[in-house]
Amino acid sequence: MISYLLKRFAYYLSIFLGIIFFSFILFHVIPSDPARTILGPNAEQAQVDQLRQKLGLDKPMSVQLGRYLKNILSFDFGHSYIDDRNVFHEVENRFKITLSLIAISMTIVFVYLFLVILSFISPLLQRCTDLLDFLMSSLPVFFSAVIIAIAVLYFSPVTSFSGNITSLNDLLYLIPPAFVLGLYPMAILAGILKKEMSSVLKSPYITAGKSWGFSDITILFRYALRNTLIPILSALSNILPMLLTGAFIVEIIFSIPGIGSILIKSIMNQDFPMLECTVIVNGAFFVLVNLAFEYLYPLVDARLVKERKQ
Amino acid sequence: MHNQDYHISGRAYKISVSLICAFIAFIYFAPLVQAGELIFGLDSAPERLIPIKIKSPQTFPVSMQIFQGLFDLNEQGNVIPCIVENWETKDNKTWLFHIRKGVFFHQSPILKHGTREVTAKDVLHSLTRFCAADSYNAFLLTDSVRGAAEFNQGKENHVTGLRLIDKYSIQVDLIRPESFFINRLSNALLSVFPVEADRKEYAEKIGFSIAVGTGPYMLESRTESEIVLKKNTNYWDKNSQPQLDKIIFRVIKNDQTRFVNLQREKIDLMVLPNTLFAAAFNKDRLLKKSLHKKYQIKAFPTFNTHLIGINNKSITDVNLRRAMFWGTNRKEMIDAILHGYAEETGGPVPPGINGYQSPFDKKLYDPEKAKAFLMKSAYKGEPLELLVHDISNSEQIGQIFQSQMADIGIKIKLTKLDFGSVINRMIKGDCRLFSMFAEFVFSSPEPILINLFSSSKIPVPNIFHFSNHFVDEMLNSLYDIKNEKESVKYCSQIEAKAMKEAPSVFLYRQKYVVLYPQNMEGLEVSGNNHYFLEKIRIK
Repeated sequence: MISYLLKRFAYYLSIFLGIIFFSFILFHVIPSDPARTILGPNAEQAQVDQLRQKLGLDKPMSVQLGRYLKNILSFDFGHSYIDDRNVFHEVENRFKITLSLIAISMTIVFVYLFLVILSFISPLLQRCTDLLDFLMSSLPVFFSAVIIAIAVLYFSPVTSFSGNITSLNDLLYLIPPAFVLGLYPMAILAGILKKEMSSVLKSPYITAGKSWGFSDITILFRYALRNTLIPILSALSNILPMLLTGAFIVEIIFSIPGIGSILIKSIMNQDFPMLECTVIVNGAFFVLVNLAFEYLYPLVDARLVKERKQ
Repeated sequence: MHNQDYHISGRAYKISVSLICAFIAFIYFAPLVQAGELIFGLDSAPERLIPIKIKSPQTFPVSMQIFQGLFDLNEQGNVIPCIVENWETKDNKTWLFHIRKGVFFHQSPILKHGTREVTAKDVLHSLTRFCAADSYNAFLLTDSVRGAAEFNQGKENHVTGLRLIDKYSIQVDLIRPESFFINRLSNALLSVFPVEADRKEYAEKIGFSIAVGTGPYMLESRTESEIVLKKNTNYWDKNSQPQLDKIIFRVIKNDQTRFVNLQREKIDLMVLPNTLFAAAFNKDRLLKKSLHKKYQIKAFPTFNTHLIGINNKSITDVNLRRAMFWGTNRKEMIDAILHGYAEETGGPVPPGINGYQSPFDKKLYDPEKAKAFLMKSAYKGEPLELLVHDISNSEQIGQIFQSQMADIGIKIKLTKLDFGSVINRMIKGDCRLFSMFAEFVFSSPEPILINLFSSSKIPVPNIFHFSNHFVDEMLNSLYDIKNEKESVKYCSQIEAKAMKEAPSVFLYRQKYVVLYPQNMEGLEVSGNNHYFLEKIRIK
C-alpha cells in the first residue's frame, strides 16, 4: 500500500515539475516584449533595450531557465513587471481569498448534497432538486453571476468587499459569489449522487436493512451513502482545482481580488513573473488535491486497500 | 420512503428567529455611508501609487488627489502654478523656478518629524527620478532637459540640466529653447514627492500602504478593492481647502453592477462607460427621467484621442491615405459608439489647448473627394489588414471603418489581437493599419506635434513612421520662436501641412460622462482626468 502511494506521489511530483517547466517555456516563446510592456509605448527604444538587459531577457533561454529554477527553489518568483510588487506575496494573498471563496462554496455544495440525499425520502424535495439541477447546469455562470450580484445590491445587507478577509462582513460578502461558483459543481455532483444512490438503494443489503426495521435516515446516511461516495470524490477531485482558475468570472463580477482575476490581469499585461507564479500555485493545488484524494479513497472504500495491495 | 418528523422546540425556534432578525437589522441600519464621505466607483484597480511608475490615466483620479506637480491644468485647460509660486526665463532655455513656501508633505511615518516642508531639494530629486531608467515617464524630459537622456542611459550620475539654487529655487537648463516648457511640466504624470520615499526600507510599502504627496487628500488605507483617502488638514492652498472628510475609491469591475451600485446609492459617483449609454440616456441623449430625479451628468472633453493609425512605410501611396482620411465618417462612429459624446478631430492636437486654433473646418467627411483620391492612387483592391484590440472600443471602430471604406472601394481585413501585441507590431512597423487611442499628456500643441510627426521620433512616439522633410524643418523652427502665442499659432500651420499627407486618420476626442447626485455641486474635471474633488460640496 505504501509503495503504491509513494508511486502516486512520484507521479504527481513529475506532473508538478512538468507544469513548472512548461509554464516557463510557454510564456517565453510568446512573441512579445515584456520590457516594452513595462515601460509603455512612449518609452524610447534605448530605454527598452536597457531594461531588457536588466531583466536578463537578452540572455539565452537555457540561462534564463536555469536562473528561474534556482530562484523557484528558494520561493523567489521575482517581482511583477507591472508594479514591481513581490509576486509570491501577492499570489499568496490572492490565493487565501480564492481559497476562502472555494471553502464557502464547497460548504454550500455539501449542504445542497445533503438536501439531495433527503430528497430520497421526500417526493416534493426530489421535484425541487430536479428542477434546481436543471437550472444550475443550464445557466451560464456569467449570467447567473450578474443576476445574483444585482440581487445582492437590492437585498443583501453587505454589498462591498474590503479586499481582504478581515471582518465578518467580508465573509458574508463571499456567500453569494461562493453560491454562484458552486452552481455547476452542485448540478454535477447532485446528478452523480442521485444516479449512484438510486442504484445502491436497489441493492439486496438495503432491502435486508429495511426488513431489519432500520429507519430511512439510518439506511440513507449509514448504509447507502458510503457506497456512493467514490464517484463523488472522484468528480470532486477534478472539480476543486478547476474552481481555482474558473473563479475568475465570479471574481470579476463581484470585484473580488482573487487568484482568477490576477491570472487574467497578468495575461492581459504580459506580466510573466506573476503569470508563472499563478500557474505554478494552481498546479501545486491541483497536485495536492489529487494526492489528498488518493489517500482518501481507501478510507472510504476498504476494498481499494486490498486491490492496491494486490 | 416517507419523511420523518422533526421537532424543534418552540422556545429554541423563537430565540433563533429573534437572533437572526436582530443581526439583519443591525447590519441594515448600521450607517453605510457617513456624512462628509464620497464614494467614487472605479472600473479597475489603480496602479501602484509611485509617481515615476504611474502611466495609466485610469489612475489619475486617485493619484492627483495625493500628488501634485510644479504646475497643473484647470478645467479650462489653462496652466496654473501649483508647487511653483513663480518662475523666470529670459531665453526659454534656462528656467528658474521658485518653490512656494509653506507647502507641507502629508503626515507620514517615512518623514522624520511626521511631516516637513517641501523644498527645492525634493523638486530636484523628483525631476531626477523621473529621468531615471526605471521611470515609466522619462520620455517627458529626456528630449528636453539637458543631460536627462545621458542620465537615463546611465552615462551620467546626475542630470546636468537640473541645478539647486537655494532652499526654494531650482534652475532647469534645456537642450533647446522651449516656449512651451511650462506646458510640458503641467502634465498629470510629473509630481513632487519626498526624498525619503525612495529609501530601500519602504520599497515594498511605497505605493500600496504609503503614498506621500502634497495634495488635498492623503492615503489612509489601500486594498485591491478599495482606496481610502482622508482630508489633508494641513493643505497649503487656503482658497481651496478640501470639504469632504473622506474619499473612498471602490473598485467595481463589472459595468452593470457598478451602475446598480450607483442607483442603490452604494457609490456616489462614476464615469459612465459607453456600454451603459443606452441604459442611461433617452433618444434625445438626455439622462432618463428615472435617473434625472437623483442624478446629474457632467460631460468633459479629455485628451483621449482615437485614431486609425497608418504605417506610412508600408502604405506609401499618399492618395490612398488621403482617400481613407476623407472617406471616414467620424460623426457616424461617434453616434454609434458614444451616443455623440465626443468631438470630431482631423488632426492630433485637441482644439483649444493653450489657445490652439484647429486648421480643420467642420466638414471632415467627403466621400466624393475620397473616391477621387482613390482613383488617383495605385490601389488595386487588395485587402489592407487593420489590427484591432479589446480596449477602448477599438474593435467597434475597426468594424465601422471597414464598412465605411467598403463604401468608397477600399477593402479592410480586421485582425484582432491583444493590446500588447498590437503595440509591439505597431512599434516594429509590422502592420499596415491599426486602431489605437492616445492619451496626450501635454497641454500645448508643440510637444504633441514634435512627438508624433518628427522623423527623429520614429518608431515611438512617431508610431506612423511618418517622415517629411518640410514638416521636420517646420517642427525644428518651433524651438526658435520665443513668443508662446506665435508658437501655438505656427503649430496650426504645421498640423495642416502634416495632415495634408494624411499620415493617419484621427477620429475623435472622447468626452467622459460623469454621473453624480443632484445634491452635489462644484465638480470640476480637467482634460487630463484630474477631478478637483476638494471643490465638491454637498448641498
